[in-house]
Amino acid sequence: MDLIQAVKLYIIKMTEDCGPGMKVLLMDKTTTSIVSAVFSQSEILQREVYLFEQLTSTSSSDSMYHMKCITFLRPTSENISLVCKELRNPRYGYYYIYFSNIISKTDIKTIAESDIQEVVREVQEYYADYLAISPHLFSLNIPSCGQCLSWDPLQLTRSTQGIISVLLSLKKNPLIRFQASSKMSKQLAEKIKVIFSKEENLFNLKQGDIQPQLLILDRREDPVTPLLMPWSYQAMVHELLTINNNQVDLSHIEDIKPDFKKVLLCAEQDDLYKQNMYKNFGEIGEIMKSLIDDFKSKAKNHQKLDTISDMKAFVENYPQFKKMSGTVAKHVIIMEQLSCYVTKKNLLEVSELQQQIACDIQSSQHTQKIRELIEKNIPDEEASKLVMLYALKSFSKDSNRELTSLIQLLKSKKVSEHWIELVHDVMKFQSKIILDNENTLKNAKQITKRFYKVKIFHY
Amino acid sequence: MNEPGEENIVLEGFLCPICKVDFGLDLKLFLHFQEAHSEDQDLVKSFKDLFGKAKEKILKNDIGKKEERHYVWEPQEIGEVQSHFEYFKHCRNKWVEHFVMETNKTVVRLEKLLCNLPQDPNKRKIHEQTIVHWLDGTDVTRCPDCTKSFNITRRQHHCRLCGSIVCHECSCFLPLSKAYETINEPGKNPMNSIAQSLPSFRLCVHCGEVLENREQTKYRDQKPLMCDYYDKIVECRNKIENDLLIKFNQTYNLLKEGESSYLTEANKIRSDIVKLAETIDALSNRILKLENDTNSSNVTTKNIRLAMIQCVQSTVLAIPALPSLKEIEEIAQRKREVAEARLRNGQDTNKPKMSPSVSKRHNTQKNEIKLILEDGWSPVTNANVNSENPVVEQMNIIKNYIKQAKEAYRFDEVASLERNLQELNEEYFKMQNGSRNMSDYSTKN
Repeated sequence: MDLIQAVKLYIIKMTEDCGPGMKVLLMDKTTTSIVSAVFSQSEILQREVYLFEQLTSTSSSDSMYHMKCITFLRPTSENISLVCKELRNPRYGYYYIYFSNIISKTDIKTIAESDIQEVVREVQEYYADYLAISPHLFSLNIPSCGQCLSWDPLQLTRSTQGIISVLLSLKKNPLIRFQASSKMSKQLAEKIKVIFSKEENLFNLKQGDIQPQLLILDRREDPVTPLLMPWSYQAMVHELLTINNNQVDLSHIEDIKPDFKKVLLCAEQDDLYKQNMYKNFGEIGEIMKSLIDDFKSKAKNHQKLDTISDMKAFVENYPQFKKMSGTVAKHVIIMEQLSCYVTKKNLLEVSELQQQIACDIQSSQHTQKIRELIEKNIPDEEASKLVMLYALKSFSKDSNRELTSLIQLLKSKKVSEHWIELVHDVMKFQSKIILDNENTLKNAKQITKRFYKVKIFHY
Repeated sequence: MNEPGEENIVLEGFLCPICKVDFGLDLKLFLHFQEAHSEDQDLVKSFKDLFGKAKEKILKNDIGKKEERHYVWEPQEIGEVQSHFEYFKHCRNKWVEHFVMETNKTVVRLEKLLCNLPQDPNKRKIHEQTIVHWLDGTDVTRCPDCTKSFNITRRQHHCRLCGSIVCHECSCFLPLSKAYETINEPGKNPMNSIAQSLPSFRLCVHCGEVLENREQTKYRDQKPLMCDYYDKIVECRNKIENDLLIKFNQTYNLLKEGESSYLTEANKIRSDIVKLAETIDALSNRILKLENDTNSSNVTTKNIRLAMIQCVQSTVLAIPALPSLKEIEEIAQRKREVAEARLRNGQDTNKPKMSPSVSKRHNTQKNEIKLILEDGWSPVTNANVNSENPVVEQMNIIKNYIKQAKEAYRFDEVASLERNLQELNEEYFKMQNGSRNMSDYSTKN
């Protein structure tokens, strides 16, 4: 059930399928990020893949017949026609074609009829159609999947494909459960169900005694959590610096070393990170401190190389030492950035108030405190997040008046229009939820009434 | 270890712990116990304690296992795959047959055209028309390829190979020299210079593509110099990975066991590996220096060089330094001492100290242990595994002691022995994990 492993196994199989020899990996934009999410360059080089190309309409025309081409693509119509074009004028010796999802027979026929020189040696479906971020988390890199509470049809298809490929790569044929209150969840569940019945052969998998379950939940059910400041290491890095494809962009820092402009935060390769990614900020600080001390003492030891045995020990430990120095330096820079943001944005105070609002402690003083903090000139986003949180958590009639005055305050502080709009959106969303809740309550009452009626008739 | 005898008969069922009679039902046993042994309250108490302890232990074990699972994922097999190659081939074969036939026809026509080709343009036109029937152009008002209508500026042209009519944009030219090349008779062209000046053949794009494809396939088997070097590199790598490194590890382990006679051999293997690594380094450097005309081959050579540097680094760094003769003798000495100590003490009930020789020996048994692991190694049930591993041996002994102590009703001792066993279990598990990690490591490199 390890997603990274699942994608890795597929790619290892691809490189093994075509035997020894120099290989080129021909991908599209999405599959490139899929592969790079699980394989470092050095790892893939050791599998004899020496060239990485993107299949575009303007590919180079350098022919290298001595290389085998592993073609790994999403089965989009654009890719199909590009493959056909590629095969009509093949640039490489042999082609091993893998699609990351289910492909139609007609598409295969089209490709087959372009392969006049008979260079294709393999056509397979390998279901690595998602970005494996950690063993238990994947993403499809969809920036926004819908508008006005309904699916963008393109993204609905993509999401369905993504989930189908996850299930196939883990060999699971689950029972689908979805959140009934959400129309989007229902649509997605139905789409997946359609594919289950259409591809019966594929999903005819050996199962254990217990059928696994696929739970489809709507994130909107809990609008509060995303507004709160997280305090565990990985979450903080993502919140404050943004992790993208396991990479953190640090190029905005002044006079940073070129090595650290873009750093990789990958639990697979970085044990320090793996052990500490879920620890909270304070703990991490202490761990870092002890690491640095440890590191300093080691560095000191390395400085004096008097005897031959010293030197021997140095040479033996050096690669480890160097690797460690790289990781420690990386995490120190990140930690510096984080603590810098924490002080700059007044996050300790902000977060405390966030927690109080979320947990409804001393609710009478909330508005006063929000006001105080906004007066302290905390950044736009934090200020508006506090107001949004307040909007979500307060239902009384007074609060409406309070909210308008808070928004006025935001405006007077010249908070950008974008954020104020978001506050309004959240308010609308909240009122809709309250309405829905009342409706369901009414429904429930009606049902119980009916139930009683039936009972009465029965007697 | 398990001598057959009355002491070791295993009884099952609802046994009374004192008179060892099977009662078949728990209720019956309970009643019997209350009737017959109600005075042995102490015993009952100690029993309860024992159960409590066992419960505690089981719970602890469970938690331990859960944590283990949290870190180590179960071995995962590759996900579903679906091959379309059979259908692909089926579709391709039909199409390729058709295409090959067309190619052959085209080439045959080209051969005929080139045979006794007159130089005079008019005569040439007649010659061309006798070989390939030219389509009558009077009814053709549009180019069949681009569907643009013909007029004074867009004139009709005939493809010399199939006789069809196309416009200028949908046609291409085949130079005579290339035409001779195509039919594999470059030398048969008597007047090379004149042939150059003669107009080329006008072809429709389809015939042009057919010939072009045929040309391309000719070059497919050519291999650049890079391939030779690369093949040599692969050869060296295989030799290191599949032969020398294995041998080296074997001798290295023997050295660590204190067998000093293998020192020269180990040194030799070590230097062989280093030499091969140097060869790989040199060859990849030569690949890098090759003259490349294209951008992609530049990238490729760079990447090959990078990969080989990594490979060389990892192999050379993975070879540990050999111990000196003195160190080996020390190890041998220590080993002898341990063996003697063991002889003196007999089979000690205490947890044995892990001497370095034990852990090293463990490495040589890697395969064996792996096998046990795959069979679903569980520390408790596999008591009768006749392993050479001293820890397992010790565990078995303790298990026997526990049994005997239970039979003698010395429950305090049972508890302390069980603690010992638990510690040993943990130790053994650690060693197992260690060896597994090591084997993972060696396969990775």
